[in-house]
Amino acid sequence: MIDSMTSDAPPTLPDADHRAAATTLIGTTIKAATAFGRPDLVERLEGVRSRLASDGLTVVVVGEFKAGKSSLVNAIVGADVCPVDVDEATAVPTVVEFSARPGAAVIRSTAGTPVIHDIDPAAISEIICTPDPSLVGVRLGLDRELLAEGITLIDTPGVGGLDSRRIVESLGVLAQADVVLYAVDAAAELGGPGLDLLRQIDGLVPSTYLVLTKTDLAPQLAKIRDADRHHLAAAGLDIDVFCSSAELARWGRIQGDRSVELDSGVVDLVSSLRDGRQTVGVRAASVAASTVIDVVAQLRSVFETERSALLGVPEAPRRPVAGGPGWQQLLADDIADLTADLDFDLRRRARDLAHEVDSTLAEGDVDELWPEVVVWLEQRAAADVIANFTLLRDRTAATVAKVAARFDAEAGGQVDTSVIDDLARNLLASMPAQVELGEDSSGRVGSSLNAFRSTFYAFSMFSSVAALVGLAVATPAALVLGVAVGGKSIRDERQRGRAQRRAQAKAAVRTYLDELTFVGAKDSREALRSVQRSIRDHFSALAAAQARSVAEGAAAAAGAAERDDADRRRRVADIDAELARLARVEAAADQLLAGLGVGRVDDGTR
Amino acid sequence: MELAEGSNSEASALVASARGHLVNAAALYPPGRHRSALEAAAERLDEPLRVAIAGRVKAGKSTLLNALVGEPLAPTDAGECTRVVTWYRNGTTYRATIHVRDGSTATATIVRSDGAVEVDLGPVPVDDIERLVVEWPAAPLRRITLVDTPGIASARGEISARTVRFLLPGEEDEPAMPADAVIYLMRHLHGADSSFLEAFHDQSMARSTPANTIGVLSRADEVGGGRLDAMVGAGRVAERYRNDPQVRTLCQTVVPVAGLVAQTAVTLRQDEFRSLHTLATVADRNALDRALLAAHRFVDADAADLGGVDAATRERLALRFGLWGLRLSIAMIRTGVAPNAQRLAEELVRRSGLGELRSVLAEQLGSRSDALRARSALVLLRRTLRDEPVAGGDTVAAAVERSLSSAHVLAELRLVPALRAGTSGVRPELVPLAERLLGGLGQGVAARLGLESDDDAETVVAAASNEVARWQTLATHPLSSPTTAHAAQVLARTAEGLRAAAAARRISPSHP
Repeated sequence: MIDSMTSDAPPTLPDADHRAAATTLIGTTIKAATAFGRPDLVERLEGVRSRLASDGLTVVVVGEFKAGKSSLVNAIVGADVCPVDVDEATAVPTVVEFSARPGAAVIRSTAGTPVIHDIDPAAISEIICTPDPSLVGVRLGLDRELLAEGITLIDTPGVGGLDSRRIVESLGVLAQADVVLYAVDAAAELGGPGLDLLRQIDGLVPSTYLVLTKTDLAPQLAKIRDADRHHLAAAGLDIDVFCSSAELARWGRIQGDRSVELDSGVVDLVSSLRDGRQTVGVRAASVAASTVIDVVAQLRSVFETERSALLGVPEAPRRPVAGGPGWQQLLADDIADLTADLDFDLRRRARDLAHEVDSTLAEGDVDELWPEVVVWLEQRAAADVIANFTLLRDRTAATVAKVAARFDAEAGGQVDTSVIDDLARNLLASMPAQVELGEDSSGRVGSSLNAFRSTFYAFSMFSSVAALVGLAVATPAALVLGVAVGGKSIRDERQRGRAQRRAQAKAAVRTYLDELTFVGAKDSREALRSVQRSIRDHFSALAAAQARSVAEGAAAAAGAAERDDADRRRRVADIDAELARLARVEAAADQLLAGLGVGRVDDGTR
Repeated sequence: MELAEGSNSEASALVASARGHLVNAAALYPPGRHRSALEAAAERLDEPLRVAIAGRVKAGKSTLLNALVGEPLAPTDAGECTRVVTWYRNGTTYRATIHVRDGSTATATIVRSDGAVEVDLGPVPVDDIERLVVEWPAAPLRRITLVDTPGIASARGEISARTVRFLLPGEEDEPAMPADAVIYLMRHLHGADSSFLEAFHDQSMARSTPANTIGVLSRADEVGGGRLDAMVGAGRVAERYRNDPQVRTLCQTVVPVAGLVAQTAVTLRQDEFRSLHTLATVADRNALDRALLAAHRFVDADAADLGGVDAATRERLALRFGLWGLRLSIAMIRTGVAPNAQRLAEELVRRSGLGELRSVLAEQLGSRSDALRARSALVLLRRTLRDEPVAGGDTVAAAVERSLSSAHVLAELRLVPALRAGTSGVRPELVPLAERLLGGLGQGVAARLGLESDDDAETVVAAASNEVARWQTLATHPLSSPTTAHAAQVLARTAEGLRAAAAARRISPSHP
């Protein structure tokens, strides 16, 4: 029945390619599950397999204007992909990812629905550098080696004047980034706003690197680098610092001079990214191996139940059936708590902010303070939205762990921690992408479109709150008038109206914060609903599969009574052969885990 | 730097009347704070124009200041080094005075190390220092007092606050800032960004107007990636800024300057030229080119490949010239453009943009120097009389008000920002003409009329008459709004002044 798999030697593990081993293992297990008539398990394995194929390292490059982000992307990829100009700057997020057939596409959002169109790669430079509100993003497909390894780079528009508002705009993207490269011109050491921004980003993503760019122009590079390390340490940030000169890298590449390329520092950075890719590969492979082990256990339980019945031995204690209202109730309760807590958190932050603004406005001249207050308020609001989002993410991860523990207790098994981590990690990134294909878009953009879609879905996540944060606080009409007319003639008039204008300014701040709280709460409620659905679907599927295994075992056991002795002996021999094969698959999965240095957590449970 | 003396007699007359008002008012107050403040303001009318250099942290403010003075006065370093507002003014001797916030003063010690000036602030806590005044005998400081400010958006919040306090001491409609004019340094930004203006935020806090602010695109060599044609790219960027409607409301013009090279150019030493000359003539051109790919490669390269110029010398050169300065200097020596140190210095002054900045300063600020100083004094006086009423003050206040509203040079100063902001009531197609008339393209009579400087007097008078007619027609046109009519009146009067000057020249051609 599953003879083909017996010939498979237990996979050996070449260091470089855990993914290939895991993919083979999954393939073998899918064959087995298909043979045993378990489409439910096949579906689960297929899911893991496609994740294994698409899950790469997402590297997001952020930084100030003209910090050399696009040049850095080009240097990493080793090709002039992103347009670089003395004056023009990247205006739309640009995804650079692998594609066997080079091509380019844009996502435009018209009337709220994002649509993908293929475009001529020659036109790319103009499109990327021209601000266009309907343009959501650009995708460049290339067949470069590094990209083929599963590393995707995202070039972002610069953070002008260094503020948090741009971070809010790309919260979705940062939430699924594996690595953020914070590019900063090596001409100057990090300033206060830069450090604040780094701290916020570091709280959002698994790893952040500080990349000093244009190092060829910096005669005092070592001094600046040391000062930056010092600033980072003083701020309590554990962030690696890299130096990179895109100029040197490019020169070395074109002239074929490896020593100059090495000198550029880009090589070190790339190898660090490859290490990161390796880690992601290990994570995906260990999720795959754990899934295989669980699937094998379920298949085996069916055979073991039948075998016991055939031999007349008393049945081993059955695994408790998972399900029941327990974990589901826990999940519902937790999400309800979380919704309330997030809402409260946002309200509390808004209230504190309002108090601060009030006391600032009470101290001075409203007309004079207003422009500063607006900028400050928006930045603080952005920082608060980010903090609220970080809370959402952390608490969601905690909920997944709690639900998994309860599920395990009920099912008497143990869901592997790597699977739980993976689930938690992908909750916010795996929401369905609502991107349509444009009519002119042929198959050219090809198979990796899914990753592209989810990337851009992420761009639109939290877009309503981002739009609000980016929107200027409405200036009260009286202040507009005051500023525009100015001059001494209406000075006395202005003196009289000062109290009134202060009240109006406070009201404008309140309106802004109310709106922010309202929209922010709505955004996180929607995110939580989707999170709840994902968690429920995940564990329901597990529970259904377990229930089915138990039922099939029972049915097979019932059938055992109808066989004669010879038939029984033949069947037992068959079953033993199947169990031996399953044991080999399991051994292969264990070996994969051991090779990953992860090891199995749930050894004692079987 | 050569700043033009008071451009016309009207501005000088305004300075004289401002001095008169200040003296009259000072006599009204009893001896004390207000009296001495007014007396100080009167004295200040005789002092050079005060120009503050402002901008973000590490924008190159101190470097540019040194380039303008021609001596490495302000400390420049990789780190953040300007920590207090520092005035550099002309003096008969070298002296540094600390002005403490409580009004007292203390003398600071000046230490010279390796050409640079270091000031030991002694026991006074930095936070208590209102300003540091360095007196220095240097020719450029006779015409202009330069004020170095700590950067805005500093890693150390308190340093930023000191700059803000300096630039924003008064109320919003009173340009009572201690500086008469501002050189605002900006690094490369992009107009497409929504927060483009935020970098100017601190600039707008200075309450400066386009009439007294000059934008400098600093570190211009880095904008172009340090390639030989870097300044061409930087020029393009500056051009875009100049034409940006938002930037136009903030400063008169934007000049790209490679500050480091400018500073080195005005302090170039013979031994530096010799080292560069050795480098320019090394046999192995390829080795030199590879060394010049990056600053650290230049320093780390093998001395044998670079004509025996040792690593320590090369490190100093890299710090003094930057990669662009090195590449440019070596190329100019090699091609014979700069056969000696003096020629090299001249070329570097020109190519770094310092030459252009000097002439813009002389043209734009220098010629308005009297008007700017008179306005500062009158505004201060008006506020003092209003906030600290004194018997007999009403008469002086009325006279001050008259001077402020009737002085034609001040009306011109006010019209510049209005033209730039589009609130002048002048039709957009006439705005360039109006700006030119007010001296936007040069202060000479011919330049202001759009003529060549060698055009004959007849032509100049005719052109001026045309302008008078143009604006008078607009001023008296029944359909002109009051705003338009007022702007046109100011412009017509400016044109009359030009016509009179041209006519005087026609009568005595020997004295152009």
